[in-house]
Amino acid sequence: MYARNVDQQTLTLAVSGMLWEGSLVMVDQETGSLWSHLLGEAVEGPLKGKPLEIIPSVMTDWQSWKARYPDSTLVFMPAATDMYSGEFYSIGDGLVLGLKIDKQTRAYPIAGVAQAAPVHDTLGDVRLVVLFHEPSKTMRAFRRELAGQVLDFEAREDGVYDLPTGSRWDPLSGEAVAGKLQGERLESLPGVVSDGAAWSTYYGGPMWQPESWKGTPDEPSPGTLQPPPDPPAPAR
Amino acid sequence: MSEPSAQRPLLARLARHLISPLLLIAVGTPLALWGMAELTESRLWRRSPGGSRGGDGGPLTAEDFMPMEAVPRMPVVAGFETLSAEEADRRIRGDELVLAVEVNGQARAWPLNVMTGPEREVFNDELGGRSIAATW
Repeated sequence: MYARNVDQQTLTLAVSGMLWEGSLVMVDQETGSLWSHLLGEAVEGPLKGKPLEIIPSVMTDWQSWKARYPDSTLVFMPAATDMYSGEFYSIGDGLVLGLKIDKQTRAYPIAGVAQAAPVHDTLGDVRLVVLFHEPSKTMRAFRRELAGQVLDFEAREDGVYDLPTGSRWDPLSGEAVAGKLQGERLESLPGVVSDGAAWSTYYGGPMWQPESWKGTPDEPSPGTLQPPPDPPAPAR
Repeated sequence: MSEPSAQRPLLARLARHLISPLLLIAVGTPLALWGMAELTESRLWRRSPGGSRGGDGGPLTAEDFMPMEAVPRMPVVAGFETLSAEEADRRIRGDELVLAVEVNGQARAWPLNVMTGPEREVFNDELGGRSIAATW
């Protein structure tokens, strides 16, 4: 999800029909520049080198989103496919949450996040936490600082809590829903949910892995795009 | 007395003849191996710029841009219909995946089943006072 303004100009983006390393290339109607969808940057044309601002978005399921945002609207058009439902995850799709902060990038594979969330990490000088909402398999990254206080998180039976205050947090919205910090919100960080292989092609580098991972050579690590080690059966 | 003295020059002669080929092998083999490795590496680098770029794992940049045409350019997607959450419940399943966003207090979701296929991979929209492009 991007803001489509660059230097005071609002752009109208379309599918160019071209692929680069298998991923979408967009074109803007105003200047004809070509934009890499995954880089979020113009790669050819008058705006070459200009970045698009990432708007932090969430990939989740409709019922979980609606529960947090009952006033949300939904874009409706005839569906082009029916593959994207909850069962999508149980086939091991190799999705990653790719973060991009001050030109530094890191990808968090869904299998590793499911195993180890909440994930505490630092990217650039940003202390962050990746939270996981199990029922909808939603990954989200937040700055884990609030009014100068650094928060550590832990998963408990009924949700994720911060350690300093014991408040309970909603992993989908980054909002404290119970406890001393109730009503506070963590800043969500810019990133995309992407196919892990495509992310690797564009950004290279090793992916984040849980420290607890004790894979053997025969047993691929969560960074190698395998299904979660123990995919829970869909309840629905 | 004559035997050892005759052997010494012979050994010395042999050594003189052997030293240059031995030197050549000793110095040349590593050089040749190194050269082959370099060549293989640079070929790999060219063949898969995504996988083995430079070894530092740096990202692709505009300078690497090498597109291929897959389909014709698609018309702009904008000004589409949106449903309220209640209406939406009648049109999609609860466990259908969506790309969702909240901008300045306004929330909107796109079913991934709708955002698939070349005609509908980029949605131009306005939300919470911002111009956004929904794509994933």
